[in-house]
Amino acid sequence: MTAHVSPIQTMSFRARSLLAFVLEPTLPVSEWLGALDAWLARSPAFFASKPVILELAGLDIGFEEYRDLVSDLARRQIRVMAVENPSPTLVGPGLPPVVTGGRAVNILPAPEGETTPVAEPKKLDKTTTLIIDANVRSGQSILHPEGDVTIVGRVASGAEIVAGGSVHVYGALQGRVIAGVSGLPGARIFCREARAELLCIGGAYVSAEDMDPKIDGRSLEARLVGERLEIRILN
Amino acid sequence: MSKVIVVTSGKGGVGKTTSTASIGAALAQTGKRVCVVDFDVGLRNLDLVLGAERRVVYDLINVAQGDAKLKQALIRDKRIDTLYLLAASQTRDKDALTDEGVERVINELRSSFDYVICDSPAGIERGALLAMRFADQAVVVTNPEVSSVRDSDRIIGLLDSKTRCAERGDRMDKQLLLTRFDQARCSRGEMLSVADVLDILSIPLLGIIPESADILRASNLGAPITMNNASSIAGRAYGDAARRLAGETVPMLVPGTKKNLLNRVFGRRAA
Repeated sequence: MTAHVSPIQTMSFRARSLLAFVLEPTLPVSEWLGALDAWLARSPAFFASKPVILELAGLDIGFEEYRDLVSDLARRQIRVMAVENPSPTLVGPGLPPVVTGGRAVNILPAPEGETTPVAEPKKLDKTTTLIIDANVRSGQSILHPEGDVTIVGRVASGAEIVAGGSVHVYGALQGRVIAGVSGLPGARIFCREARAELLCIGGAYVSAEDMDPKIDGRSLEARLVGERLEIRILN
Repeated sequence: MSKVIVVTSGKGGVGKTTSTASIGAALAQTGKRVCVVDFDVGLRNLDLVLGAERRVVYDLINVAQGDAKLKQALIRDKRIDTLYLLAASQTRDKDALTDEGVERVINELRSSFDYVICDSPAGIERGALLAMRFADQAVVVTNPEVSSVRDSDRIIGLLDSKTRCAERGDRMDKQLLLTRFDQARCSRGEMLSVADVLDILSIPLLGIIPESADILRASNLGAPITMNNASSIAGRAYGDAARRLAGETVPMLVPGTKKNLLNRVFGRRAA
């Protein structure tokens, strides 16, 4: 008879540092949820896979209202991972745990493939320009929230550029561009040959379907004027 | 110094297997030792196109997993004695292939062949990624139409990121093989022109293979066109592509643009 000896299992504990988005509800809560809904209408499911922390320092609500807030957010596909600075009465089973010691950070680039425009505008103290001297191939994502992106080449259909500042494409633009994710005003999109699938600055976007057919193939500049994207044909 | 070449495309049905067989045969006819490897596990076709489907005993998975020696699995072509085939399994699926297993097989092939040509499956999943992983060079097969071009662009992006070559920091040598080219449809604007495709993909052109009924006939006979009908237009185009792959400078002919009075007369009548 053979004896089976199972090896001693060792548990490995690892630490991981994540970036979480902080939502700061204000009173009255129903109005704040209304404003959130308006934002989500433009970018639905934005928070769906992102960790969210609620900052409760300035919120003076009762336990029941707080529990309703958490479930209202869950209905909007916002899962609250933790809370900061709650009043002592706002803790209980099934509610998000309290965390302390969170640091405010500038948004760092996400791993390749993730494209996440920043939820709240963060003030950048240092901007850098990313210059890419090659074509951006279909399926590739360029993510540079710290500043401008310049592509000396074409951006293929199915490729994506996400920049904190402006985007300049010295070639044919056939993919998607999302500029101004850092929240800095004045971000623009420039391209030499416009055949883009999507142009977006800040939160305002226009898809290929809604673009004026006369800009097709032309050199253009897109910028945000108020809440709208304005496109201007260059030369 | 042996070369591992991957024939890939992204899109299915553009002519990877046909091109692997035709170019492999053409290179072997010049005396080079060539092994063509079918990476399309579960949907193998390279053995059919080479007429070796009744001789497959052991396959790539058997060798990768150590169940058989490479010598037992290699099938020597009966017509060109420097051409060998390593077939894929038909009953297993792609998950049976591992990085380490494939690396061992490729390294062993390198030691006895001048050219190892890997026929990639379609798509961008495991099979396609494994076929390109250990390659030194790539032939990107594209049809001159929009979906094929976009898929090829995607594959080029993967060649520049998911291969050992890319991970080492080298730029993989990629060349475009434009297949099923039809000058008439291109002139009518139904298909992209050579210039359009090159503009989007921006890699050097290896060859232009015209749409040809001879290719299907050759497949049915189990002999690649460079073996069976090398003097046909498609056969000569593949032959030229093979010579360019071997480093020769061969002037590029765009099929269908040779102005020939007979062609024009009969062309119109036939339409």
